Amino acid sequence: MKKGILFIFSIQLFFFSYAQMDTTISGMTQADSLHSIDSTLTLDEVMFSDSIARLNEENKILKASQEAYNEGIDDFGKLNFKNAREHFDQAIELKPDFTEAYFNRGIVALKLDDPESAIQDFDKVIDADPNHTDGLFNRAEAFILTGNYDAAIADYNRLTELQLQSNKPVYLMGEAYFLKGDYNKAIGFFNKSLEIEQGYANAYNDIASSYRKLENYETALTAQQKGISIDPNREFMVNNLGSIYKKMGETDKALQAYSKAIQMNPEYFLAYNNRGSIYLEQENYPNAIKDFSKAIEINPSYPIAYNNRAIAYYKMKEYEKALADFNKAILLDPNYATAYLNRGILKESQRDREGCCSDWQTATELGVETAKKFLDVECAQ
Amino acid sequence: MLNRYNSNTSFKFYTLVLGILLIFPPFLKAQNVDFKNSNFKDQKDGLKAVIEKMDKADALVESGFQLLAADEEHTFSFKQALTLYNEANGFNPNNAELNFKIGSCLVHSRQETEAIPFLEKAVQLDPELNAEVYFYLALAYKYNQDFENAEKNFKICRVKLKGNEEEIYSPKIKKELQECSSAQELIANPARVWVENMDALNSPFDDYAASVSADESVIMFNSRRPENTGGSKNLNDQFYSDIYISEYKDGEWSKPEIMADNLNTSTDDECVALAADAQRLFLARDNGGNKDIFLSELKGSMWGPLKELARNSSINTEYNESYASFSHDDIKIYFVTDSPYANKGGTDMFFSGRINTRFKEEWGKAFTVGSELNTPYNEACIFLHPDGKTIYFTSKGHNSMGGYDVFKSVREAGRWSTPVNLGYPVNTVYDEKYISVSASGKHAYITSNRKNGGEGGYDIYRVTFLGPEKPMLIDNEDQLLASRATTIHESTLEAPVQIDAKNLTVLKGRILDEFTKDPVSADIEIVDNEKNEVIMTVHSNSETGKFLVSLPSGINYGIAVIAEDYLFYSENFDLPEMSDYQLVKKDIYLQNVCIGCKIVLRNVFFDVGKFTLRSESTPELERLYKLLNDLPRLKVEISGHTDNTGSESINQKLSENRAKAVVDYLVRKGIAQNRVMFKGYGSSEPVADNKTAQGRQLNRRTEFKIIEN
Repeated sequence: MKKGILFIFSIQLFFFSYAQMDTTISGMTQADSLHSIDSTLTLDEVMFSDSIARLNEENKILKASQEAYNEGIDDFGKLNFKNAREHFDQAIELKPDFTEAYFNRGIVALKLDDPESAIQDFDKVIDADPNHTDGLFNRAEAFILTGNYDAAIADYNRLTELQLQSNKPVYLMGEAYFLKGDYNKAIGFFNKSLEIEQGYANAYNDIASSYRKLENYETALTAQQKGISIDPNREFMVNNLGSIYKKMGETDKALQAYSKAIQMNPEYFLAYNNRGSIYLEQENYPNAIKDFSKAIEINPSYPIAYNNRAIAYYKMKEYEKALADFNKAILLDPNYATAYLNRGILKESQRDREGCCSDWQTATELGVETAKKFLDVECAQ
Repeated sequence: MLNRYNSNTSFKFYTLVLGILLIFPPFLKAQNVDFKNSNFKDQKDGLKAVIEKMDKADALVESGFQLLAADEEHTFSFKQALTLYNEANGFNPNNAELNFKIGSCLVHSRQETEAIPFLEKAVQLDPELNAEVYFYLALAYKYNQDFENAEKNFKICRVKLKGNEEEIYSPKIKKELQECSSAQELIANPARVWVENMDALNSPFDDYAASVSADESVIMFNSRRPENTGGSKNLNDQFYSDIYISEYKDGEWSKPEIMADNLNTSTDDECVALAADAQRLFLARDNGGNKDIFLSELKGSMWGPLKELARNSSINTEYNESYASFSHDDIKIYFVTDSPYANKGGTDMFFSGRINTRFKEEWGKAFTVGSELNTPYNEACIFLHPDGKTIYFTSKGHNSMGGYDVFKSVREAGRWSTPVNLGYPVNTVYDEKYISVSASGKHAYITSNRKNGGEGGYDIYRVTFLGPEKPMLIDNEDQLLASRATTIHESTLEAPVQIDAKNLTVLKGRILDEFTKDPVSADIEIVDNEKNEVIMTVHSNSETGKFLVSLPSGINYGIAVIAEDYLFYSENFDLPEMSDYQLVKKDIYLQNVCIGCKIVLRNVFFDVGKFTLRSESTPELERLYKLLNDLPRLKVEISGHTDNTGSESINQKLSENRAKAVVDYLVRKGIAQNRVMFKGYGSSEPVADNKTAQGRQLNRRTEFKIIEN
């Protein structure tokens, strides 16, 4: 209906508006604009035509914002997230209530590791529509990334009310509690998610991890094995199984599990690091070094593998190599407290007193209690 | 039986070989050649001369053995004998007995490795020469760390002992075999230490018996150098020892200097112990034919005249007191003596206790440290660690691996624990004769005559104890949550962490005048707040103001610094049992008695939230009372202060009541009411930042301020 009226009046306007219409409305009253052009129109007619103009303008703006929005989606498809964000910025600037644009921009912000901005964007989406499930899911994710687990839990709660048949929000709530450190609550929610969806392997994995954190390794083992039996193709679950065995002292089974995980995914550097650690504890240094080196080969920016390999070199009295690895670990992560502690011990054995005391000082500042004890006894002068 | 087919060739072969063997003298067994005219027909004069030399050498050896029996240095006599024997050997190298004598002289003059060929030749020339030669051969191997051959030869010696030789040698061989066994065990499990020669201190002459101050800034030791006082030599051709001193500054030890102030004389002067604060020194010196222990005290920068320690059943006797040690609380003196009093043989370790702490010179009857530590063999050195519970000593007994070894024992439940050998390479088959340990327990300074490429005399070595091996932390990560990409961190420990630390706090610094910043000579009273007892009093040095106290853990200490014309200063160190070693450096500024001056009473204690004085506050309150008593015109305000936690009105009331409690105490003791005012300031006058726990503790305090004098 609107379009029909527009059509009719636009024809009329066409005849009455040879003079160029100034599209910027600011600075002139509505009556003035047309009146200055054609004094034959009545005030009503003037006001009406101005509103058309405004409507046209709105349409133009709407079109521009929609174009920007679409381009943003294009960019996103090409994985060009920065450009996507710019386009969504434009779309929102032109149309400040463009909910879909906020949502997309929020997603892009998550991709750009900017969860704070994402939260703000999803806030807008949810304000406009409190039942926007995708908005709630993503905002919860953003909360988790900023460490605000309680807010995430609130969002998941809302989602459980909205999505009564789905186990997803229940399960994710369990993960939020896990990250918060409340493992018992987490287990509760994981179990609940299993009530909704019996064969959800992820839930079994997470239950196993929760019991592991509670040091109840027997139960953890059962849960982990159940998860693997349901979905045997997830190498991280097999790796977790290995770690549970390791905590229980069953190093042979741990080794087996880690090796299996590696077999399933030869690029799984975590498993190489884990297996190497067992060799290290068993004093099988050549094999330990082999595994740590493989982890480094797959992921050259993994400081933990350098730290562990350095320990193996130290045990083999290859002190230069050990030092080089500790240095690399700290270069990759200047707040790597454990590496400072260990490098201090290495320096002490090489009689570099200044070096070892300085490293233990840093480790103490980063929160390692053992380093403080060493400092007090060895560096008190 | 010759094979028929090869009879010709093999017969020829064997004849050839036999012929060659007969021609080459080295393959013939050498024969023992006696120093007899019949063997040296054309060299009668030469023979006569050589026999005279050997006789002279024999006499020198005899005197050498006498010194050896008295545990004195003896190498010179044997060296002199060697020169003469070697000449005889040049004349006739194939005499078994001469080779044996040369070998034994070499062993006794610290040239054990060179002795082996001579002794082996002796037994080759005449395997039945005597049993002793095998004993010396075994010793030579032992010093060469060839324990297999050492044990073999000790056992051969034992089999060949005749008559009364058994009485003398059997126990010796038994001991030597024990030492060989101990040596092999200790070398197989070396201690985690570094041992380094202190080149900065040592000389080509004997350097021995170092004593280090608690904070390792000063070391004193003895040395036999040509530039010593008097410049004359003893019977062992060594210069009489002087005491030297060196200071640790800017990362190195200064060149050792002979100590002045009449501590050194032209005969043997030996320092044997330095008190922890380096202001008192024990010396050993010849005193009319026997050695005694003397004390010297540092006054300002001068060492005072020597005072002899108590005689007659206390410490010094007409026998030789050769070593001593301070105890950490200055209540006992430990010493080493060869007095036959309750002695198992040789030298033993004793201690004597103060009778009355007011008169510092009186010492009680000497008691043995006990049979857990003393042995039938010699003990040379004793050192009580400032932690109040560890003793280090050197002995030829226990499970020594050869000569003197260093041992350690700990006081537990009123007894000394079984001594522990400090292990190889702290100890060796040679003599580790003296030891001094730093307060932190990290370093020990030992004296040893192990082979060091030098002439084999005594040198000072520094031992660094590494403590138990420190485990490194292995790191691991897993993907604990299925839906997340981020990994969760875990760290695993290899083994539990053990720290081998001493349990004491060393407090050192200077006492200075607050306004002029000049050093003040003050008394520093160390008080056990719980028992309300003065544990000890030390003094700051009048010239530098320096002081040092060692405080073993497990006591709530009140430290009071008292000097004439100054307000007393109060500090509290509440050291829980087993708290680790720490070094606290603090300069203390004393204020003159002045209007408006404030003193914080750090040794006044209340229960949390209450205003009743705890009994541990008594020593401090007594000091305050004494101050008011000594200065009758003094008027003070006692004020209470809290931190900013909790309600301000409650804080104000509590701080007021606490101040009042102190005032009541003083009034009850007789101080006029109008001289002591009380006031509560709540949290209105903090002296530190209330945001930190340490700051809040400093703000919770009781003060007194001088209003009038």
